[in-house]
Amino acid sequence: MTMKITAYADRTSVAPEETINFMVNCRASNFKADFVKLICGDLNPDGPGYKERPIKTKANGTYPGRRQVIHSGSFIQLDESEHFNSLENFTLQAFIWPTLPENGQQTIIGNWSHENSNGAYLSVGGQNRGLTLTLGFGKGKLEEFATGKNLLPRNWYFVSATYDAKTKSVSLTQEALHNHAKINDSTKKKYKVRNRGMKNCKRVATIGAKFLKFDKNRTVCQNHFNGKIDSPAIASRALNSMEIEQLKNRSNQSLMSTNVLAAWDFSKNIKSINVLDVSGNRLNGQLVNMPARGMTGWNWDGDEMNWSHAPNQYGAIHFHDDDVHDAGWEVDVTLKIPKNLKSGLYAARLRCGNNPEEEDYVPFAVLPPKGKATAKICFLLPTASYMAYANEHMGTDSPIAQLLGGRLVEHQHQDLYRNEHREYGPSCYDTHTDGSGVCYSSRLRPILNMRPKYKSWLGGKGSTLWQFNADTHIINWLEAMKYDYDVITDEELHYEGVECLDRYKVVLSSSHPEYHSKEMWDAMATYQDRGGRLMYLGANGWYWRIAFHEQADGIIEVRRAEGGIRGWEAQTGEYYHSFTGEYGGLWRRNGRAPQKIVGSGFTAQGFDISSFYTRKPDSFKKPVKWIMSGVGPDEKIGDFGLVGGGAAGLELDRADVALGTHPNAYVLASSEDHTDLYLVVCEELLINYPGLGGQENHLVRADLVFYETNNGGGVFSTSSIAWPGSLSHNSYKNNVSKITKNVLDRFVKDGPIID
Amino acid sequence: MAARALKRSTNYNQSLKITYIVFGGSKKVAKNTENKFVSSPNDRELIAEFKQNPIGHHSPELQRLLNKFRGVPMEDKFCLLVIKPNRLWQLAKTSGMAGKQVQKLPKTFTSQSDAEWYVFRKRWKSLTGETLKP
Repeated sequence: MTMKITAYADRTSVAPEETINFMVNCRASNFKADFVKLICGDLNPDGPGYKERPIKTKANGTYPGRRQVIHSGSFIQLDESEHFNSLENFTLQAFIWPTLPENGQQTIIGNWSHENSNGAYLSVGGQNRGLTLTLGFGKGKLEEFATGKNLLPRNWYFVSATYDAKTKSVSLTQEALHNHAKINDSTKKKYKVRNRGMKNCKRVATIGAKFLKFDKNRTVCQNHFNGKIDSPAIASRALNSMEIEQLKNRSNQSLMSTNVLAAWDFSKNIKSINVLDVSGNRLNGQLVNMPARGMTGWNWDGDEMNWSHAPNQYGAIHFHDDDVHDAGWEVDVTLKIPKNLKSGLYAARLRCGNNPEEEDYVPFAVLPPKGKATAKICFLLPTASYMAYANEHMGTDSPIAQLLGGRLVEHQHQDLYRNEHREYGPSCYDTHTDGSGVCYSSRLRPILNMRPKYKSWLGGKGSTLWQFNADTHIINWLEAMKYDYDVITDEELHYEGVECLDRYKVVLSSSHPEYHSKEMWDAMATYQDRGGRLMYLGANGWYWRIAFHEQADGIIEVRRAEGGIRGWEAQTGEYYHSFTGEYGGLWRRNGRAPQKIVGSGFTAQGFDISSFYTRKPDSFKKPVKWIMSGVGPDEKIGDFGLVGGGAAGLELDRADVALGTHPNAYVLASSEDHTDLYLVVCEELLINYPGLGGQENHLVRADLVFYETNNGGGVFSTSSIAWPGSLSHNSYKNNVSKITKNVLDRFVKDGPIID
Repeated sequence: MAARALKRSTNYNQSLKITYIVFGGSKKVAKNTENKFVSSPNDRELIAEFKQNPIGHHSPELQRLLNKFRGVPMEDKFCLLVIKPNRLWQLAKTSGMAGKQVQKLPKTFTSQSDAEWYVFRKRWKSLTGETLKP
């Protein structure tokens, strides 16, 4: 499947008079760029219909098309140095934990000129190769020396290679640090070299891959290493065995200050993208494509789980051949937001033909002018959650997708393209090529499942919507009901704090605001405490703790720690964010269960069909009966809808005072009659037991919750991801729309919520 | 990017493993299930139940059968391509190899239920050898 045009932007939110850049990969000779206000992205003819409104800007027009590609795979690019160019005799060494040693050649350390085939690189990989040193003498003259002993995946080894040009000798050391009985994969070997004269030339030194070429402003490597590398070092001569041991242990200061060219310590500056050389030569480097830091090293003994408590045991970086951070494409279209453009959800619509494969949208939020609000209502676009799901591959990769969905997976052309173009990078729901979990996700690449018109396999029978496109049903409802609203994103919440919310009477969440940094969590809690009013129109919210990188733009981190519904599980000892040092995982395991901030928290999930709510006694109580105004006492609430055919579906939250629900919260209604594909979430299971499905288990329900907060604030939670998909039913004349309107109208008014 | 096997490593937790354990990693449904699924007179009721309502509430017996059908590994696993949203689908099969194309098949459906019923019959045939009438 070919998509002829794909694109991304340098930001997801932009204020009037600021600029946003679009980077476009186009296989046609030119493409047309238009800008639209997005209203409803759902193509289902049984719904309200697709709606977008073109806007005129100076950037609308036809642009030349060009191909732009993503060079995936992480590595460390070391700063340019004459030391590397002139290196002839040397020792290369490191601790390694290869994850795919049976795959092709993967470079640990390289000092290489591809153009001149000159330099050296130390690798592992390939059948019966083991540790391999490759020497290049120019003009295609290569010599390879391999131990011939395979390495075991996911075991630590110490490896070193020496080369002495004068004696034309090479030595290799492959030392297993495991203790498996009857597996002898340690070896030391010596070889004679035929060629002579590794000339001084411009080389690029790298760790975790071998240099290939420069592509404009990007360094392109090949032979990416899969696995961990710890304490790599280069000496400027062939060290003897004792010296190699001393460098391995960093125990000989005299050696360090004389013959050691570089000794990198990855346990320093773990939060940073900078890599430090502690030899004194300052041959530092930078991460490219964000390999994972804060990972357990060769000497991790299990006594300490927090890298900031014992950084010397966290000197490893885990590299992957499919890591992506910044695609690094060149700018094709620049839009300056018109001064008077109303805040809202917008997109660049890019077309190079009339077929779906010849069209891409890049959504973004237009913010209100800096420091101002232009409405009383704010819609909080959950861009961090979109990033966590960015380009997920579960529909094509995971056998459980059909089990979860209870039907055949439906693919769109974007899914097929992502399947074939793995260089677009995985989501935090995927595993890397080597099976390790994807703990970082970036928005600086085309995110092909964050698009209007997109259907996701997770989205329930019917419109099959999930996340971004599901959220357009909230925008569509606000527009249809003629509410005035602003749009801001998670990044405003994270970077600006509560100030960006304080300007609003009411904040509406998305259908699935799952991922929050501490800064975001604190901002929302403070907003509520100051009298802010939140309508939580979804479920599985405030679930995972994330971190934004303090130095690199557009990337989040999530560690799938010791609980929760997880596409993968962080390895023991790797639960702490490398970006911040915070303990990652569920907010619930950080002492902040979702019930504490929205009154309800994740309790069950299923992805086939949705169900309905029935009213509970609280809904008839005088202080809150206005919420159900116009809804009959026995009326089923939301037994209709585009997402699974009901308002209660996909992921469900429940109130639970033990987990933090306000003791005086009103549980207005609860859902029922879910299928047995709806199962209780795993963090509720201390002992697994039969009867966890929707037909039997009382925990499988969505609770409609309302409670007051300090200073006149309040929270209304629908506790179901499917809720927005029911808003437009019967031309917006339905009880889901009615309840939502009752609450919003009351929340937006001055004065107390409850008289 | 070159295709690569999804079933790559064994020393770690990932969702793929779950069904490989359940189904033993075999390629075909018949191999996975022939010793576990016992044909009985109730089969006719399960077939009728599925045909009437392929997506949604099911009896425990039908659900167990569907779990077998829908949980097979990704190699040559049936799926759908959306041709016209909510109106037209094309049958396809995933490859089980990351990066390798989804194979489009020359069969389209104008309803999701028709697609489910078609694939159910295919999987039933693989399981029991019996050809169900459309």
